Amino acid sequence: MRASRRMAVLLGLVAAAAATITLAPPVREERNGALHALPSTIGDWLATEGAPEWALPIDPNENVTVRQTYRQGERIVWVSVAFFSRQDDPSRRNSLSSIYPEVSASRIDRFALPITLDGASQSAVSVPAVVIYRNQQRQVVVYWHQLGRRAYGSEYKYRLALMREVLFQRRADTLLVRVAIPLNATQTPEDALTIVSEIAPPLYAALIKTLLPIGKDHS
Amino acid sequence: MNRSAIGLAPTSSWIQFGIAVAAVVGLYAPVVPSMVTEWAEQPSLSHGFAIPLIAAYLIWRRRDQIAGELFGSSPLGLPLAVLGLSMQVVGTLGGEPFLARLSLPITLLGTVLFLAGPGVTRHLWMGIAYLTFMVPLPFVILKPLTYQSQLFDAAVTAQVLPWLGVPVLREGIFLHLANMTLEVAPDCSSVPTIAALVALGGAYAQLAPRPTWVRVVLILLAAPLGLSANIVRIILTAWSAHYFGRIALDNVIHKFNGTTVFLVTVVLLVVLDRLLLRVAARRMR
Repeated sequence: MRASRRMAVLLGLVAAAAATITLAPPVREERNGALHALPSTIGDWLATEGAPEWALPIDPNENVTVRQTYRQGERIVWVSVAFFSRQDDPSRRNSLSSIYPEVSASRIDRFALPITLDGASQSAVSVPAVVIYRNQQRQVVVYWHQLGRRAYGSEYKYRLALMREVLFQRRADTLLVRVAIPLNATQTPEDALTIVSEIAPPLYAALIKTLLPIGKDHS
Repeated sequence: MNRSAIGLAPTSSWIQFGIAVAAVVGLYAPVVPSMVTEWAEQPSLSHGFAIPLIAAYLIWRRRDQIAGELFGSSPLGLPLAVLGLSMQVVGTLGGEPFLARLSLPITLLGTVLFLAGPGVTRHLWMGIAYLTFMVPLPFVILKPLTYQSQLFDAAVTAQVLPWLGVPVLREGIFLHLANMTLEVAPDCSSVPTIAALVALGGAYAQLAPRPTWVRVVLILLAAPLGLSANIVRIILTAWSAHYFGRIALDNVIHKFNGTTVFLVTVVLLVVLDRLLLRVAARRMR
């Protein structure tokens, strides 16, 4: 190929890339108005509004958040469901440092919790669980990201799915669901994970119900 | 006598080549401001400002050899440029700046290979590839690495301190001394500066003629040397805190920990380089 032709090919490619970027339709920004509806009871667990910020930090990029405290006798579970819009913009993303309380934590142990959110054992999702040790206290936080119905435990899989969603659907709205459980001296992290396994599926089902009426089934 | 008459690339080829490179750089202009902001806002990424300058210098050093090369083309250039441009489009539209930023050296390399050929590329590739060091790693990768490094640094420090006569109790990333508790904070971890240290090793290795194996060893050992320097710094800080109290935390060496580690690593690299060059000289005899 002659030099001038090579030059034309390359400039053509650069122009095509620039045109693709410039002419792409904008990412849609949607408000998730249905997010306020979380169940007031989950089995024997009764909800009251609010959850402490020291247990579940607030991310400044959250658009809408529902925070509830579920109680069953002396046992407590804090739940936060946060809606983030325009996650294609890195400056509006949820911060990895605000998912669980890290400040003053002497140790943070991480592991994966296989969980069947929709009750079907074939569709188990491995969600991250962390045990936070801070000032003689221990707390377990389990969390997952949601794109419509789809739940993601792996940060990498979530980011890939988000990229695909942004590229092909031009949508970038996500949910971050967090469940935190304080541990007393006699409880083990395994006890907390049992509680999460009990609470997470109905919570997920309730979320799906609230999302579906406004056409958010991305799957 | 014109350049082509003596077997050199004509000036018009260089002008065309310059236009193509300028077009590529222009396409990447929107990617740069956010990257520069990250360099400016995060001290561990501030080496990013130096990378384009060092890359330019690495190319400038080879200007005579580049000027003496004939223009050609390589069939690998076009797919490489297409790959780079595709990454730029996907990264920009998909909201993944890391992908878009990483594609710049790939697109440039493909452009050079396609328009100027392997002869010119042989002298330019190092400078272009060096630009990779200016791209900040995604936080999703950096965060777990940093935490593991904090734990590791604290564990090694807790092992060493008793040998120096300092009693210590480690609790995760906390070091409980007799007079205070120290936290090996994310800023104390040397993971964020690993890219800077490897970049430093890469540039240092290119500055003078050396056997290839010496260059490779210098680049590979830059990161472990930096990590070791950082652990030594933490140990010294804890030791000083035990004997001299808070003043050990308020001094210049602790406050500018990134710079301290960087300078110590430079010294270690120079020492290592001298040793390796001696070994290389002996092998040559």
